[in-house]
Amino acid sequence: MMRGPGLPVYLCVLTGLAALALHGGAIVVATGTVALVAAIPSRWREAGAEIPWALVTIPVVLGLLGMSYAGLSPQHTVALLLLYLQAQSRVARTSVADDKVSLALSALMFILAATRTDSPWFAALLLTWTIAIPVALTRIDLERTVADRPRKRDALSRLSVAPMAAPVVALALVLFAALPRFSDARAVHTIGSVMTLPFVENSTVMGVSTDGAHPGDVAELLQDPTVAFRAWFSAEIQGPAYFRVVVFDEWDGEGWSRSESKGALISDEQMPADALHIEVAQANVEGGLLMSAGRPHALRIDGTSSLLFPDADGNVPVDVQGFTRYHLWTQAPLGPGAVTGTDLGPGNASWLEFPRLDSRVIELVGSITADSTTESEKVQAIARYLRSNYHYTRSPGASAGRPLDWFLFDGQKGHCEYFATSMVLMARAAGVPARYVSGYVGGESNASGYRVYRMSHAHAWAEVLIKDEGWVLVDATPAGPAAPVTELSVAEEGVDALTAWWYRTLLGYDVGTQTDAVFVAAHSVESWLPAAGTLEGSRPWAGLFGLLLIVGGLLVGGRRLLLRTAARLAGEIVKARPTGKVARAHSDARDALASLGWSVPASLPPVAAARWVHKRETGESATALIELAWLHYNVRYGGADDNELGPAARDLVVIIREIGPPPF
Amino acid sequence: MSGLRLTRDGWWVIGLTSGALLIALQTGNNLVYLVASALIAIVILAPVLATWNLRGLAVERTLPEEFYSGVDARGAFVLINPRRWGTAVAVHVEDVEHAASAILVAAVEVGNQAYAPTAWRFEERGAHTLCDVRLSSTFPFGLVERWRVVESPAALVIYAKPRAGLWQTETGDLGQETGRGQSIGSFGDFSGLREYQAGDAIRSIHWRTTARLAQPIVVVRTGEGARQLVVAVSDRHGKAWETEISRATGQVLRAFQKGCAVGLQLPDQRFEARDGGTWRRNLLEVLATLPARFS
Repeated sequence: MMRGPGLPVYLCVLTGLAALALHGGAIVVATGTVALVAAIPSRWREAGAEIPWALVTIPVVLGLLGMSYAGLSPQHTVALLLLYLQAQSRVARTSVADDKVSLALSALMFILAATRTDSPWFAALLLTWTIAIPVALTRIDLERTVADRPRKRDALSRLSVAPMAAPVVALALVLFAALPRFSDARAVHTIGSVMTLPFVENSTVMGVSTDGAHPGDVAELLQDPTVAFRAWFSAEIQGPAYFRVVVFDEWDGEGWSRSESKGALISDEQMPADALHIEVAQANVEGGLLMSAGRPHALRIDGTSSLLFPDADGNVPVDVQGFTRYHLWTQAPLGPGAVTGTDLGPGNASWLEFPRLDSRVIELVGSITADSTTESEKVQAIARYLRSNYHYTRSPGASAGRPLDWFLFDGQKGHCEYFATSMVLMARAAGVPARYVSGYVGGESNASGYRVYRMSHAHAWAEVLIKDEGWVLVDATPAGPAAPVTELSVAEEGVDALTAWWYRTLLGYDVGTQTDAVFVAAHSVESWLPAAGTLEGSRPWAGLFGLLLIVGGLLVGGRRLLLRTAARLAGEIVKARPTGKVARAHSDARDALASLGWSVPASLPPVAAARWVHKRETGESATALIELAWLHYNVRYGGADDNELGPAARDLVVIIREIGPPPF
Repeated sequence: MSGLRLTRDGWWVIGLTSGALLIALQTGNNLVYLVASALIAIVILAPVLATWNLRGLAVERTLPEEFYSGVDARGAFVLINPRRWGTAVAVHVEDVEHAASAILVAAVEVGNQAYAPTAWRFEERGAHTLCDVRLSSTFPFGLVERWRVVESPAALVIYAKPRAGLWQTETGDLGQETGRGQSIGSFGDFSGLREYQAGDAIRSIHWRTTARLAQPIVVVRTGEGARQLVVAVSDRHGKAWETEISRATGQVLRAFQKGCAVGLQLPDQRFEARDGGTWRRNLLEVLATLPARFS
C-alpha cells in the first residue's frame, strides 16, 4: 500500500481550508466538506482514485463558470474552484505528486484568503501552515527519494524533521520586515483630492450612519462589544477623548442629515509645536469619513504624503476603502469645552434652523435662558437643565413621531442621541448656532499605551459656535456614556494588546513604517559615530552609510555564521533513533558512556567498541557492555526475538551506567 | 567541485512564490506579504540547508579485494560525517564514471559513518582507475539538488572473467597437474583453522570461531595444499585470446581454491608453481594485464 507523508500535509491542507473559510457564508460549508474529504482513510481513497475525474471536473468547471456568469463574485468562483481541486487531489491521491499539488493549492488558498480578511485567526492559521509546510515538503522529498527502497524508508521514517520549520519561520519574519513596500498598508486604493471632496451617501462608519441619524437608532449599537478602532496618543489624556465621526447640521423634525459638503477647510494656522499626535488603527472607513478629535490641524493616512483637513462642516471626507490606519495632529483638550474648530467657512444657515419644533420647546428654552446674556451662558444653562432634569437610559421605550417632544415632555429619559438633539435644537432656539455630532467616547485603557473603542462606546453630542471662540464641544448627556475610561483585567489587556499588535504593527506595516525604522536605525548608528553632527531635521546620511556597511558586512562576513546557524537549527535535531528495544538499549548505553567522558571511537562496531572499553576498564560494567553488544548482534543479524531480549538489555544498561568515568 | 540545480518542484515553487510576491507588491496587502515571505524563506533556505547537508562529508570506498570483468564486485561506500552538528540525510553517492554504483545513504549521524553497499562492474580486464565520487541530495525540501564531487582516486586491476567448468583437464592441454607428497589422512578431514584469505570459499568459514575472534577464520582440511598445477595459456588472437585468458584465470582460481601450488605457462614466459595469497594475486594480475591481441 502506498504510504503518505501524513500529518504535515494534512495540516497544510486544513489550515488552507480554514483560511479560506474566513470568507464566511457558504464557503464555510464548502471548506468543511472538503476538510472531511481530506480526512478520508487511505483505503477508501484508493477507491476514489478509480473515479474518472475528467468526467467530474468538466461539469464542475462549467457549473462554476455558469454561477460566475449568474452573479457569483470572482473571489468566490476561484475559492470554489480551489476547493474542488483540493478535494480531487485528496480523494484521487495516487502518489506524493498529489501531495505537492495539495500544498500548492493550500498556498493559493492563503493568498486568496489574504485578500478578503484581516482577522487575527489568519495569523494563527498562517503560522501553523508556515511550520507545517517545510516539514511536509521534507517528508514528501524523503518519501520520493525512498519510493522503491523500503529499508531506507524505515530508516528515514525515524528522522525527526519537525525542527526544519524553525529557520523557515524565523527567516519569513525577517523577510516580511525587509520586503519592499510601495504603497499604504492594506490597499488604500485612491485618496480623493482634498479640494474635490466626495459627498458620501447611504453609508456607515463603524456602525455610525453618515447619511442620517434618528434618535433611538444607536440603541442597538450601544450593546455591541465589537472593537471599532484603537487609538494611540502621544501624550497622556486627562478624561475622555471625544472622537468625531460625522457632523450633522440639518434637522427635519424627526432626524438629522448632512447638507452637501462646502469644501475643505484649510486652516492658515501653523501647527503648534505641542500638537497632540493620535494614531488611529483598525478604523473601517468604508463610509468615507475619517474621525477627528479635539481641534484637528491635519490628518495623514499611513503611507501617503497627503494631508487631509476637515471641511467647513467639520467632517473629513476621503475616498478610502476598507481598513486603514491614519495619523491625526490635533490640539487638546479632547473633551467637553474643547474648541474643535473656528468659523472660517462661509457660514451655514442650517446651523440656526429648528423646523417643526414644538412651541413648548421654545417656551422652555426661553425660561431656561432668561437669566443668560451671552451665548456661552445660554448654552451652559441649557446643558445644565438637561443633565439635571432628564435621566439617561439605553432603552428609553417608544418615541414614535416626534422624538424630541416625547423626550422633553413625556418620557423625560433617553440616551445620548436624545440629549444631543435636544441640546442642539434648544441652543438654536436660543439663537446659538449648533450642530449634532456622532462619534465615540470613553474607551478602554490598555497598559500597552492605547485605548480601545468598541461599538458600544458610540455617542452623540453637540457643538455650538461661540463668537470669538469657535465651535465648542458640549455634552449634555448625564455621566454614564462619558464615564471615565474603563480599566481592563491583565488577561483582557494581554489579549487585546496582541490583537492591537496584529492590526497596528503587522497589518499596518508599510512603506512609512519601514522608512521610519531605517531612519531610527540610521540615527542610532550615527549616534555611535565619533563627532556625530547631524543638523536638526536633516537626513542622517552618515548613519545610513554606516547602516549599509553593517548590513553588507553581515551579509558577506556573516554568511558562514548564517549558514551554521541555519544548519544548527535545522540539522542538529534531525537525529535518528534506533528502533527495537535492544538497539535502543545499546544506543542508550553508548550515550551513557559518552556522557561519562568515554570517547569511544565512533567508527568501531558494537563488539569492538565494547572490547575497547573493556581493555581500559575490566569491571562488571564493561563485561555487561560486551554482552549487550552481542545481544544487539543476535537481534539484528541472528533473528533473535527483540521483545524477549529487551528486558535483559535494559538490565545490562543499568549495570553499564555504573561504569564511572574513564581511567585516563 | 560542487553545484546546484533546481528540480522541477523547485521551478514550480519559484513560480508560485513570484506570483505571491507580485500580488503583495501590487496590493500592499501585508497578509499576502506574510504568505510570500514564508514561501521565499523556503526558497532561500532550500539551497542553504542542502549545502549544509553535504558540507564536510567525506567518502571512502570499501573495495573488494578482487575485481573480475563482467562480474559485479560487491563493496561499499563509506560516508563519513565529521561535522560537530547536523546529521547528513538522504545522500546519493555514486562514482562519477560508474553510475551503476549509485546508492542512497539514508542518514549519517554526527561523528559517525555509514556503509552503503554497492557494486562495481567492469566489462574489460586490465588496469582501471576510479576517480571521483559524486555526492548529491535534494534534502530537505526537494526544491534544489545540491551536488559535490569528492576526489577519491583508486587504482584497480580488473582480472579477467573466470570461465567456469574448465577445470577438467581431459585434453591435457589446458593444464598440467602433478602430485606432490603424500596426503595425511583421507581428503576432506578436519586439519585445523587459519585466517581467511581472499579466494577462500565462503562455505569453508568456521562461523563460530569467526564470531568469537571477530575476524574470519576458515577450516583447513587434509589433502589441501598438497598438489602442484601449472596452467598453460595457449597462443591465440582476437576473441579467442580473451577466452583463453578467462579460462586460465578460472583454472588458477580453482587450483588455489583446492589448495594447489599454481604456476603459469604463457606463450613467452613461465612462472613456476607456488602457493600463497600474494602469489595468487600476482598470477591473476599477470593474466589481467596481458596485452590484448587483435586478430
